[in-house]
Order: sequence, then C-alpha cells, then structure tokens
Amino acid sequence: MFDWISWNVVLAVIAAFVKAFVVVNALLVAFAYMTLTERKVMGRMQVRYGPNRVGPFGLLQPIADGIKLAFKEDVTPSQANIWVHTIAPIMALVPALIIFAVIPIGPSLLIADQPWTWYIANINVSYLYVTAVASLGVYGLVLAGWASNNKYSLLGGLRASAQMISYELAQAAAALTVVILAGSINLYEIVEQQNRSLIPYALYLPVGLVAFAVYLIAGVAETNRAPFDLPEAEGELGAGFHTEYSGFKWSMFFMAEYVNMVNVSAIAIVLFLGGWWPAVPYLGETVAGIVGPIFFLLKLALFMFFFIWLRSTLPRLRFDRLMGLGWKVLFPVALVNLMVTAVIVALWPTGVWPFI
Amino acid sequence: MEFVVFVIAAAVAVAAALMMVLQRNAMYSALFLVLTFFCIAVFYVLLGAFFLAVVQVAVYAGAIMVLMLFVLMLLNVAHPEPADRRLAFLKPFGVIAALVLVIELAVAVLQAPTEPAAAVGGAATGAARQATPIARPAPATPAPAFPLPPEGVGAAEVGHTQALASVLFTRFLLPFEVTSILLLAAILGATVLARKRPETT
Repeated sequence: MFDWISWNVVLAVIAAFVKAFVVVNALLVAFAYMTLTERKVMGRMQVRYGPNRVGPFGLLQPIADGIKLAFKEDVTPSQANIWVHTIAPIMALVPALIIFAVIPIGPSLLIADQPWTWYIANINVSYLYVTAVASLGVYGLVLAGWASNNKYSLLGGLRASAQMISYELAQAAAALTVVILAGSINLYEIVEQQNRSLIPYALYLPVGLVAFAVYLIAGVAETNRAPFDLPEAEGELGAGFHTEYSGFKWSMFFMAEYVNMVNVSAIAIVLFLGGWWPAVPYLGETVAGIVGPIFFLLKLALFMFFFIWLRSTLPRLRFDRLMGLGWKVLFPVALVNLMVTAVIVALWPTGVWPFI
Repeated sequence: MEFVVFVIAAAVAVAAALMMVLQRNAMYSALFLVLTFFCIAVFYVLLGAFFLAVVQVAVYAGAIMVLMLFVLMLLNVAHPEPADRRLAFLKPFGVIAALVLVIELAVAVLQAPTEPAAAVGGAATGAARQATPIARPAPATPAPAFPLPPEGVGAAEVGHTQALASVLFTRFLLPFEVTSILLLAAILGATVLARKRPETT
C-alpha cells in the first residue's frame, strides 16, 4: 500500500527531522550560554566580574543552573488552574522554537551532487509564517497570567497581550517595506535579492534604514526585553506573569524569551542585513555556501550583544508611554515609510534604487 | 501520509469544536476555539493553500482570539456561569440552523467534481479532495501539499499568493474596497464610542 511513497520524499522527511533536531538543540544551548554571556557582559558594564566560580571563566554556570532548576520543587498555587498553568509555558516555548524552521542561514549548494540547504523548510509565504507563529507566543504569557490566580500575574498577562498586539503592527509594517522592495514574501528570495544587488535593504536610504530602526525597536518590545519588559516589571508586579512559576516551568519562559531574541535578530538579519551577505556571489557557490552561515552567525552574535547592551543601559518605560510610543510614533512612521517605499518602487520599477 | 494527517486533524477539529460548545468556562471555550482554528489551518496546508493557512493562524488565532482572551481576563469571567434561562428558546433554532448547514455542506460535497481541478485553491477543489482523500492512491504529482526542500518544486503549485492577489485587485476589487470601507467605519465607530465625552469629564 506504500508503493506511491517515493524515496525522495522519505529522504526529505528524514533530513528535515535531523535538521529540526539540530536546530532545536542549538537554540537551547544558545539559550543556556546566552544567560551566562548576559550575566558576564552586564557585570562588566556594571564594573564587576559576573559569574566566574563554576568551571573555567564560569563556563559551567549554565549547567549548574540547569541542574538546579530541574530539581527545584515545581509549585502550583492551590487556587490556580492546573491545566492552563501547566500548558502556558509550553505554549510560550513551542512557537519560539518552530519559527526557526523557515529562516535561511546560508545559501543553498551542491555537496557531491546532492542539494544541501541551510533551512528546514522553504515555503512560499515564509515571512507570513513567521508573523503568524510569533503572534501565537503571546498565548503563553497571557494564559500564565490568568491561570496563576494572582493579581500581579494577571496584570502582567494583560500588559503582555496589549504590548505584543500593539507592537506587532509596527513590526509588520516595517517588514512589509522590505517585502515591497524585494517583491516577495519568501525569506530566502529576499536574501537572494539583497545578495544579487550587493546592498542590504537597511542601506536603501532613507526608507530601509527607517524600517530597520522601527523593526528593531518593535522587536525588542515583542520579546519583552528591557527597556520594554513591562509584563515582568519587578518593581510594580512582583515578577509579572511568571510570579507563580518555579523550577522547570519557570525556565521554559526564559527559554522562550531568549529563543525569541534569537528569532527577532535572525529575521532582522534576513530582512535588512542581507542574511549571509557579503558571502555571495563572487566567492563562488560552494565557498559561499560554507562561509555564508558563519557571517550570519557573527551578525546574530552582534545582535545578541546589542540586546544585552540595551538592557544594562536603558531604564524601563512607563506603560502609557510604551503604548504611546507604539501607536503614536512607531506605527505612523512605519506606515508613512511603507507608502513612500511603494511610491518609489512604483516610479522606478527597474529594480535600481535611485538614492544610493 | 496526507490521509493520516487529515484524519488526525479532522478528529481533533471535531473534538475541539464540541468541547468549545460544551464547556461552561468561557476561557476553556476560547482555548478550544483556538485549537479548532489550528486544525482548519492544517486542512488548508493539506490543500496546498499555504497563504490561507498562515493568514488563518495569524488573523484568527493570533489576533482575534488574543483580543477575546484579553476581554475575558479584563472582565474576569473565570468562574462557570449558570446557563442563561432567558435564551433557552433559542436552542431549537440553533439545532435547525445546524441541520441546514449540514445538509448544505453534504449537497456541496456530493455535487463537487471528484477529479481535483487545477483551480486556484477553490472551495470546490477543496471539498472534492477532502471527500475522496484515499480514492487516488497514485497521485500524478507526489502530494503537492508536501513542501520539498529544493527549489525545483515549481512556484505554481505552492502558495497561490500572487494568483490570489491578482484576482483580489482586479475581479473582486469592488467587494474588497467595500469591505475595507466597512472596516474603517467600524474602527471610527469604536473610537467614537470609546472617546470620553467633553461634558461628562
């Protein structure tokens, strides 16, 4: 009964499974060492050392943290809604992990006449997939706040949903600028366009730079990172939506936050910084296919540093200011920027940008 | 493969839809509705309509239901409420409406062509392929819904985003624009209602 299954499909499925396994584990290891990097970098910025006791340079600190969190007692408040309380961290983490499936980190190449691709899936609507899945991440936070049966948690959940819905608009409008410039919503195609013209979209003055700035600010807000970490503002809300969480469930919220940082950075690199640019095309296909991901990961590391830098530098916003910034500044700017881009592309449809 | 995924998604969709209706707790109902939306998105993927699937998740699950949850949390309707006796007379009408819908769908499915046409993700194609998922054991193209990693699959059968857009902005331009005006009116209405009136402040 299985004679209609072609072996190519089976191989593709196996390859996808292996890649997904590698990507998920890489993301979680990156999460573990991001916590260490963050603590060390913030320590240096605050003129202290940061963790340096466990292992050489404190390199075993994440493992110690992981063991501690795994064996910590998992407390569920007696009046909490047990089912939703348990599902909420999963609903926060899973969307964060599956976004990376469509992100291309390097150009496709042939290895021994076999096509090798640096992504798990290349669907035609990959940018829309990213927005759709990213917008699901808010469920985890909202449900955590609701299920904990705690006023502060509830307020944190409400703040999370309001904030993420508001900034999604500005983020999407900024990304649509690039979609218009590239004429495609396929992330791989968007990167290829930038590498063909040798100029990443962030340098398409002035609209590209504005869109990049809006996207970055909205992205920081989407990941609930300082200075936009209102849902977990410890001065006002205890710990916000994860006040009533401990042990492994608590660490899942943190995994979600850090993996989301990686996702936002990776998408910003794909949309605005040319992905694996400048690895193509003069290097030749094979070399570019091997060097490209290294460029991508270097840019990713820069973005991660930027996130940490922001956190140790800027004070938290007030909530009404946050909403004002999202709705009255970023969203109109992104919309006007989008319209200007559309007009320019309509006037100069040759693909040659007039202002460089 | 396609059939197995379809059966699982369909079972989950039906179960989630039933649970949504039967739950007393509004929060659970909302969550089961989200699950139903996901299963419908899976159907769209199986039919090769990636754009619709993604928009389904982004708009319904990602935006509308989050707002619903927001309102539910804000009103704090966490506790099960007794059934409202005043609306009990509506129940027979609900049953009648459901029956009519079932008959309508059955007629549509039975009348649809059994061969999957090369239409642009049309409803008729979808119904036909849902009705006879196992009747074609050897599909000519191996499962067009299955995204193979290399670029060689051909853009024509993946997505239909461009086809959808060109139809939307040419043939259906008027309904499209009318809908956007309707939405604009709704936004303005909401703003007017939510605004503080000068004399009451």
